[in-house]
Amino acid sequence: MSTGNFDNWDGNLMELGPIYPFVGWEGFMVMLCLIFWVGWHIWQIKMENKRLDSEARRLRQSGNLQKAVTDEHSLERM
Amino acid sequence: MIIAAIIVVIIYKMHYWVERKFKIDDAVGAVAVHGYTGFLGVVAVGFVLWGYPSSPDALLGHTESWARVTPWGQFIGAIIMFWVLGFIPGYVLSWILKHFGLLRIPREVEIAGLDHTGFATAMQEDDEIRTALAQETQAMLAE
Repeated sequence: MSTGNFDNWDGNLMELGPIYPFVGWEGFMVMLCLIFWVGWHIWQIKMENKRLDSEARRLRQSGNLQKAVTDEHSLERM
Repeated sequence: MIIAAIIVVIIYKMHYWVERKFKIDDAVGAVAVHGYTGFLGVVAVGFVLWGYPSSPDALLGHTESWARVTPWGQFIGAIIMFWVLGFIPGYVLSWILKHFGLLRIPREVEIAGLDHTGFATAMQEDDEIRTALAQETQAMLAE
């Protein structure tokens, strides 16, 4: 099994052709990475907004914001 | 990118697992970033470059044949890199430092925090910042 197109490094490197693996799959891999990259950002933004909303909700409860600033209380303890 | 995304989840989990299980405080995550990532990266290369020529077998007298990249070869290399060249020398060096009393700071200073005992001025500035923040919050809540 080999993921490359050649068996040795003999000769002129310029004549070896592409030295990266999975030659012929470039377009597919670019699409895969693009989908992954966009999907990752959507997921990340949703997750971050959810966490920030939950923290803001907790801080809006009576005196929590004041406590967080003055007493260095972490949100987990509120 | 996809390999990196998978590996980063593994090293993140491993970092906290080692911290909880062995009580080893890797405050900046250096072992996670360099050690676990290095190990898994070397193994990943074994899969991605499987079958690539790595080096000629000249030492064995076969100048025309080439050694191949394989996942198991990379795995053995990663073990040598992480344990034999990394962990063991690090452990021996730490053991020597410990016996000279140079490995740890005093327990009390460790608990209080080096920054709090060493930087009184910074602490005072912290207090001033905290007071200013408290005043700002009070003003905001009063509106």
